[in-house]
Amino acid sequence: MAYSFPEEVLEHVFSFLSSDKDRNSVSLVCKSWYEIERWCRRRIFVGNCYAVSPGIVIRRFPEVRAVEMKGKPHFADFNLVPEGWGGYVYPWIAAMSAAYPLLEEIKLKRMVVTDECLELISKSFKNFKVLVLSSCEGFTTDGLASIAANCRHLRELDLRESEVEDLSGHWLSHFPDNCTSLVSLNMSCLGSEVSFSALERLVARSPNLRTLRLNRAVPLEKLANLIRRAPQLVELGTGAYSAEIRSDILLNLTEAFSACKQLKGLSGFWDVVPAYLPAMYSVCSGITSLNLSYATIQSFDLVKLVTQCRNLQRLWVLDYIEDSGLEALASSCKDLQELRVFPSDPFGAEPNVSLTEQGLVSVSKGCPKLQSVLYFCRQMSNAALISIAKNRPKMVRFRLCIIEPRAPDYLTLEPLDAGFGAIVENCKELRRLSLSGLLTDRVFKYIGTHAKKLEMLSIAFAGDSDLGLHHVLSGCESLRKLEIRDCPFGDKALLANAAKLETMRSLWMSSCSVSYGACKLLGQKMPRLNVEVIDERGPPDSRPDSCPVERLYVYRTVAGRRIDMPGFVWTMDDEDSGLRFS
Amino acid sequence: MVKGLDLNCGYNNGMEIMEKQNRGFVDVDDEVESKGLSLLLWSGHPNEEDDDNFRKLHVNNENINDGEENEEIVGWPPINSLRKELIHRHHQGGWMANHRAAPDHRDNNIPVMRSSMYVKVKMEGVPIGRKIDLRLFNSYQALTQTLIDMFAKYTRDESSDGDYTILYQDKEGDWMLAGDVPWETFVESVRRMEILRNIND
Repeated sequence: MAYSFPEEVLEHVFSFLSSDKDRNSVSLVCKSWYEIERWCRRRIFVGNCYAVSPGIVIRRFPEVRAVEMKGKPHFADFNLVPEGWGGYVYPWIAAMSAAYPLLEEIKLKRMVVTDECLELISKSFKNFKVLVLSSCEGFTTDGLASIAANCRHLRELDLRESEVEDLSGHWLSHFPDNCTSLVSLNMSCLGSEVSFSALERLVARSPNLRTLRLNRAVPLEKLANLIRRAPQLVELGTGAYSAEIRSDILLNLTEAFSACKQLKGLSGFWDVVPAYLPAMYSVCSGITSLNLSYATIQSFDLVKLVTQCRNLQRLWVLDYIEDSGLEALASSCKDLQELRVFPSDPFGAEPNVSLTEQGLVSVSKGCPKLQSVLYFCRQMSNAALISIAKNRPKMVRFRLCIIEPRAPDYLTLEPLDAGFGAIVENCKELRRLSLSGLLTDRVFKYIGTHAKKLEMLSIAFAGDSDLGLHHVLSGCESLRKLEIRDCPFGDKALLANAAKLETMRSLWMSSCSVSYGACKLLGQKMPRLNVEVIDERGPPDSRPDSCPVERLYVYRTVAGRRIDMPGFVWTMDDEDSGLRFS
Repeated sequence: MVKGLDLNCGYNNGMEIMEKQNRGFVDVDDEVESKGLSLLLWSGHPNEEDDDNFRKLHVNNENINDGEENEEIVGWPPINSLRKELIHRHHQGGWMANHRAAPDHRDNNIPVMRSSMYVKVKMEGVPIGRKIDLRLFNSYQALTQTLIDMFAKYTRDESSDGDYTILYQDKEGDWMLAGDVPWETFVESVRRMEILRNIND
């Protein structure tokens, strides 16, 4: 008899459930479990800030300590969401500041955060500890100064890839002298120079500092001094890794690195001068995560560094590594789980490096633990994709970007359907997939048939008809996020799978063939979906219903239509759809 | 049946809207329901009659995207703005750029930097920007003429009569008037250009 237990016992049992999914299941068992669970839920994750309102969350979960939330669609990263679209966190902070005085953590992704928000955070939550702003925008270093000045127990300040208006480097000196709690500081996205003496003092008085990611403005000459004060560091992001070649700097740096016995992650390396890389050879054997994706150096130097990191699990690198470098990686780093290869010259017409499908094939063959791939390249073949699929059936994330849209198999000039088909057929654990290259509806049939665990799919310049989208929506049972650009998918597939959209977090379609009429119909018939048309050409009802919309963003919500839409977003619902049914 | 709605589709089975729905509360992390509301039945024959429409749209998209040589597609390849900025800066002259002229002591002659000098050009009021290779020009006059030809199709019925001002952003990020410095100096420092129309009326 579960309900005969005292509440405290159940609460204690529930406290061992850390996943949101398990928590949700518990709350569906019976009314009393629902009640007990909601009072003891300390962490919440909101995958879309418009899917629920602050009021609803606060009513249900009165004792939250940690909030993680996402705003804009993923395609915002690539400039496909117009400026001013939304994703404002202010209403959430305002509501939480009244309801959650004990809030300790806020993690936001792709949201607009103002200085006012940051000030409110810094003054409302007395025991505030963690602020992570990932790909956020809208704030300045003044806002960061309030966080530094007022959050006495701050453990983590992580700005990841945020766009911060950089008014001054003095914000760092606002950390009070008695602030010694810092565990993680990531300011790699900031442009301007920070006050170096303030940084040095802060690092020196933070005995628990594990992660320090500097920005490009921190010069190499100063790095040694800094890490000497924090030999306990586990993750280090360097600043600019360049200086005039001087033996004293090199020696100094080598000594400083060799004292960091616990280093596991390295990043930064802006403007890297290869002559200074040997300074960290002594820590290479402990390194599990290496981000060289800002290091514009040639294959030779990259290989020399990477192959010394025998325990490497994650590597981000520019395509300067080339096929030969990836082959060396494959034979040296047997624990590699994640590989990202970024393009050094994505807009050039001709390849500037010798990086092909072969490099990825080598890694898939040599690294038995590889399960996450992001790979930019200029040519691909079905044969290569098939061998990758067979080599690594446990692949979880596979994102391939062939830079030229609609590029066929360069050997046979066939579409890449068979290759991606092999990926979804062989990799039963696949959760995330990005497609590129020449693809017909056939690939979507393979995806719908085999990709039963797929949660996020990105499609660009692919397919020939509605059938493609229909296969995906009707077949991919676990799909939560679907983003599509420049594909001939339209009304029929969308409307035939309307109910599917309620089971997903969101659907993005831009430059596709969805008509305004279909959007209206969808919005009207599916009251739990917000169907938003984004059109910068003016009101869509000034054009015929059959006219395709520029962009469509559909998401489920229990909060109703949002009220902060800019002039170029229209929501489809009863009031303004003008549909007549008889 | 639906009236007053032109979805521009023809269906074998006709359009059927299921008025009755029986859907439970969908929790944010619920499992996927495979059966549910469909606003029209899948006929199994996609785009039969509207095939042409779709094809036209598709072709239109291609025209916009693949139009002319080296035109950039917004958001493609999918690289975020921080990374783009890095690439840009790097091409302005990072360590590699400054050292590429020096002979490679390891003798692996990889063509690291591209041999062209592409810069972005935008015209006021024209949504699509262009990239041009500055090596193809040797004077302001040749450049101006090419730019005007390039953008002429967007400005056909404007009253500007070919009266333009060309601005450029230099290495320091300042916007300058093209023509004020010698051509060679300009080529060395230009990062991007913008054409303004002088409308005199």
